[in-house]
Order: sequence, then structure tokens, then C-alpha cells
Amino acid sequence: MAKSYYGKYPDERGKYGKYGGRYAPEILMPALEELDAAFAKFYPQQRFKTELKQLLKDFAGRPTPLYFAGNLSKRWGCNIYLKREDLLHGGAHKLNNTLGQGLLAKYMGKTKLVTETGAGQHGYGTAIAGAQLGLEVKVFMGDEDIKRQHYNVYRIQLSGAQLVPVHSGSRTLKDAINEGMRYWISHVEDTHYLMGSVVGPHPYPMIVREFQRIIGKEIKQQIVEQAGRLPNGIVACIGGGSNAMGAMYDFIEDDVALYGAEAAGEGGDTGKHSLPLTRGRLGVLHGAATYLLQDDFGNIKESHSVSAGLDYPGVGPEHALLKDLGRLQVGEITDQEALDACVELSRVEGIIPALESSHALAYGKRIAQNYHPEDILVINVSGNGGKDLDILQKRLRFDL
Amino acid sequence: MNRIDLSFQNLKKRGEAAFIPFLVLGDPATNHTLEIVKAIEPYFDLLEVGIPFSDPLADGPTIQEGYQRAFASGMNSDKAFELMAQIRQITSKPLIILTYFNVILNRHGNPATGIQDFFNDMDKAGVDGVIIADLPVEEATDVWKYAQTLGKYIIFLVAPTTTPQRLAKIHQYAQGYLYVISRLGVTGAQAQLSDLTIETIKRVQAKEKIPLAVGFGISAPDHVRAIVKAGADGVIVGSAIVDLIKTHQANPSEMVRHVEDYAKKMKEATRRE
Repeated sequence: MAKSYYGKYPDERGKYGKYGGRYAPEILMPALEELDAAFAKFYPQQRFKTELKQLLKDFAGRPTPLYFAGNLSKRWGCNIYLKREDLLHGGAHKLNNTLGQGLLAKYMGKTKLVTETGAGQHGYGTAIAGAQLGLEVKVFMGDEDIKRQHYNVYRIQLSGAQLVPVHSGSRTLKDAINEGMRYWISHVEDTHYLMGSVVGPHPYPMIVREFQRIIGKEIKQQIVEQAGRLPNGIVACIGGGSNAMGAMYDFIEDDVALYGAEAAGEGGDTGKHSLPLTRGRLGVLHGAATYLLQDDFGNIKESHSVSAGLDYPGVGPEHALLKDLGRLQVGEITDQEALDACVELSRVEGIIPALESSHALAYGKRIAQNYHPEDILVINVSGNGGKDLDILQKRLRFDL
Repeated sequence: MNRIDLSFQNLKKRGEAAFIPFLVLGDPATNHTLEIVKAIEPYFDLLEVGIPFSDPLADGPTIQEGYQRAFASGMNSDKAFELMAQIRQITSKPLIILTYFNVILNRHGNPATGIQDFFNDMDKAGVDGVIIADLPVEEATDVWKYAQTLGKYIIFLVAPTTTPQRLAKIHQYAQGYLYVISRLGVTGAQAQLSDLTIETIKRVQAKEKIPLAVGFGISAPDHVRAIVKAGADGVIVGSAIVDLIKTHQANPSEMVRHVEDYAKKMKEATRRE
């Protein structure tokens, strides 16, 4: 555990130790300062809190259940609880953040939202928030991701948002962020950039963390109600890392182990992976200092994962700090391990998890071996696998 | 004295503004960059050169494609410094790098020594300053410290959105010249100059004594004359040149000739009437 952690990060410069910060073009700096001031002003206000709480409860469906997975517990040899963010409206945890930031944008007097998306869940979440709050939405999405997550593309368009395909670079999440930021640079006055994860220049990692903390707060209350005590460990997948930060933050000062699953793609030694925390190096991308996949000249390398939502060469700056502090343990989960975990949960519990969340499940299965039957692990099922059916069908070769 | 200061002093005496072209190092190949520099040397007053970065989020499609062509020709920061040393043999005018912070921080693949190594390499290659597109003044103190020890300048950017408070902060660290971004947007040529450009020049000028060089979207001699008339001390022209390189890349001698003609025309427009 890390005593006296709270209140220190980020510092007044937006740093988490040597990570984070605000490495942004000058043209965006006033907007980031404005956002920082607006968050400090509106977030603590009772009116804002009440309005957001109401939206999360009546519209999005919070609290989500904490479910004791009895069948899985028997197989894995300790008590497994699943936090069912897959049951949140939109099919993933993303709405916690998009409704929060959408409301904030409205309080700031912005009329438009722009964002990026990888798996499409955040893009869809933003489209939902835009429809609900009456804000115009533009979503940048890489060509590659459009192909592998086309159901979410339809959902985004059906919800009235404009989808902009990105053809540059690796045509995945990182390039969608570049294009979204470029658009924001040109439309900064009436537009809020709705960052989808705990990444980007300060204050984004902090704002997204605060809106996602609801996951961990609910887990804490629910596990005490159901099991009478805190869990031994919490497991979540880490791409940018918003579901992990949300689930874990309120346990940082507790005697609870924190486990983050990174996507090892075809394997950590193949070079085809998304493992910035375990295989990356300090660098600066998308406005923040953090662990990055990069070459010897500081150019960012393409990441690989079967899961579009984890296919990102960087990671949230606070995860980088928690790893350095020894507070966060990071596991490498391959595409195959994640696919196997997806099948296992579907068959054993009747829950089809997103491929992102399947990484957390596979890591949970691995570490469950180190625990006793009376121990408790909470695994965050961050999203529903409905968006991944094409990939699952292709990889698992279902026969009719 | 830093070559940049000397250059602006001499221009002032002659009643001219600076013509500052921008080239991507290695676009489309290193020998072409050298030939273009040789051809336009009589016309530029300072030269900005870009070390390509994989994720240039302040740049529009034209410069992004220039970076892609440079990467395709094998460009990286090692080769960029070799090329800059060769450029230094061709010209005694100020040479300024434009890049993104990670290229500096991870010089030689080591963030513990990257910044120091980068400035030592700049010194060896005879480079006078550096523009870092994603390094605002708040994050620049470490970099600024290394720059000072070697007499190198960090060129800061100011945007139409920059507040008076930020402008004051930037002024504390600014040396050489201020890069004034002419509009809200990324790099890229445009046909018309926006009113915002003139407004921004006037606003920044009222506060600063440092030379102002205006960039983003400047492509025609008319733009240059308008900007110089508004009181700027220099114009930075990137995308329009990178566009010419792209258009004529199949025929290198044509490419060099087009860029040379363009540079000559643009330089003439910097002479105050």
C-alpha cells in the first residue's frame, strides 16, 4: 500500500512524479488552462454533482452490480467478484467519463465535442453524451479500427455524431488522437476536446480519473456489503488506463493488491504488442510524459493487440508513477490468453466480455493461483463483447 | 553573439524583414535538401529545418507528408545532425531546428541524457536555435538551461489565443525571435491571410521588443508585404515550399529551380517600400 498518496498527484504543474505535465502546442495552452479552471470551479458544485449523479443513475444505470462469480471461483480456486461495467449504458465504463466531461463542457458554454476513439466505445459514449446533452459531436477514428469495430461505427452515426475516418500513420487510436487534437487546435473556442482516457496533457488524466472513480467507490461499498471486507486484489486491463484508474484509485492507500493487464499482442518478445509499462521507455506523446513504445530516435512505434481499445503505444502518467512506486503490478497478456478468457467467461458464467476486459480476466486467472480459497479478487469487466463478435467469429472459427 | 541576433540587426539596418524558409531534412532525400539549400542560400536570411517526428500533432497534411517522405528516405536524428553539419558548410546564416520534444528527450534513445546530448549535437553541427512545437514555456526550463550554457536559443511560439499573462511568461525566456502563429490551426498554406494575423502581430508587438517572425499559412508575396507592413520582422514559409517539393519530386532539377524561383520572389517582398 502507499500511505499518504492522496492529495499529492497531480502537483500544480500536472505532474505525477516525473510523468504527466502539459506538453502541448502553445495554441492549446489557454484552452487547457480554461479547462483546469472550469473543472476546479464546477466539479465541487452541488448543482453539478447532483445533475451528474442523476444522469449516471437514471440514464446510464449506475450503480452497476458487483457480481460474485461462483462458477469461476470454483474453477480458479478463490473468490472472484466481477464489477459489471459491461452493463452500463453504451456497453462499457466509458459513459462515466463522457457524461461527466459532456456536462462540464456544457457548464463551460461549449457547444461542440470532439474526440478520438479506438475500439469505438469512447466514440459511442461521446455520441450518447452529445445526444443526451444537446451537444454537436465529431469523432475521429482510425481506418484500421473502423474495419475491426464497425458495429460501434454504426452506433456512433446512429446517435447523430459525425464520424471522421483517419488515414494517417498506423490508422489506429494514436493517429485518431493526433487528428482530433489538430481539429481542436483549429476550433478551440467553441469546442471541448473530450479525452477518452487518463492520458493527454494536464488536466485530462486528472479529470478522467475523477469521473471514473465511481467504479472503485462502488466496488468498495459493494464488497463490504457482500463479503464484509475489502478484497485482496483488484484486476483491470490497461490501455490508456481509465477503467483501471477508476477501479483502483480509491484502494491505493488500502492493503489491496493492484493488478493491471497490458496487451502482449502476439507476445512480449515478438515486438508486436502494446506493452508500454513493461517494455517501454520514458517519453512524451499527446501532451504527457509517460512510458512509451518508441525507437532509438524518439519516434513512436506502432502497437499491436487483438483488442482495439488496448492498441496504444502509451499509457496514463499516473499508472507510470504507480508502477515505479511498486504499487501497481503489471502482467503481460497475449491475444490468445485474452481470447481463451473471453470464451471461458462466456461459457462458465454466461457473460461475453469485451476483448479489452478479457485481458483482465486472463490476468485474474493467472494470479488467482497465488491466492487461497477464502481470498477475494475483484476483476473489472470494463465492457461487453458485443462489439467484438466479428473478431471472435474469425479467431474462434465458429461453425454453423 | 548568436547568429540570429546578428541577422535581425543587419536586416533592420537594411530596412528589410527576414525571409525564413522551412525545409524538412531529407525530404525527399538528403542530397535534395542540400541542393535546395545551395540554390536558395542567396535569398533566405535564416533557415528553419525540421527533424521529422512520427506524431507531429501541430502540423497539417503537407508537412506530415514531408516527414513521411523523409522517413522513407531513412531520415532520423543522427542523419539530421550529419545533414545540418553539411548545411553549415554551405551557409553562415542562422540555422534553426524545428522538431517535437520527444526527439530531443530521447536523443540516443536515453531520456536521462537526451536533452544534454541534443544540445551538444546542435553545437557541433553549428545550429543556432531550436523550435519545439509541443514544449510550452512552463515545461521548457530544463531545456532552456542546457541551451543557455551553449549560447543556443529556444524559439518560443505565440498564438492568437495566447493570453497577456502567458505572453509575459514567454517573454521572460524568449530569445532570438518570437514565432507568431498567424491563425487558429495547424501548419498549412492558405490563399488568404486572416484578419486575425494582423491583429495578433499588433497585440504581440505592443508588449515585446524581440523580433517577431510570423508563420502558418503564408504562401504569397502579398501575404509577406501585408505582414511586413503590419510591423513583423520576418516571415516563416513552410508548407508552400514543401508543397513545391512534393509537386516536382519526380524531377529533382525542376524541383530545385521552382523552390529557388519561389524563394527569390518571396525575399523580394520582404524589402520595405
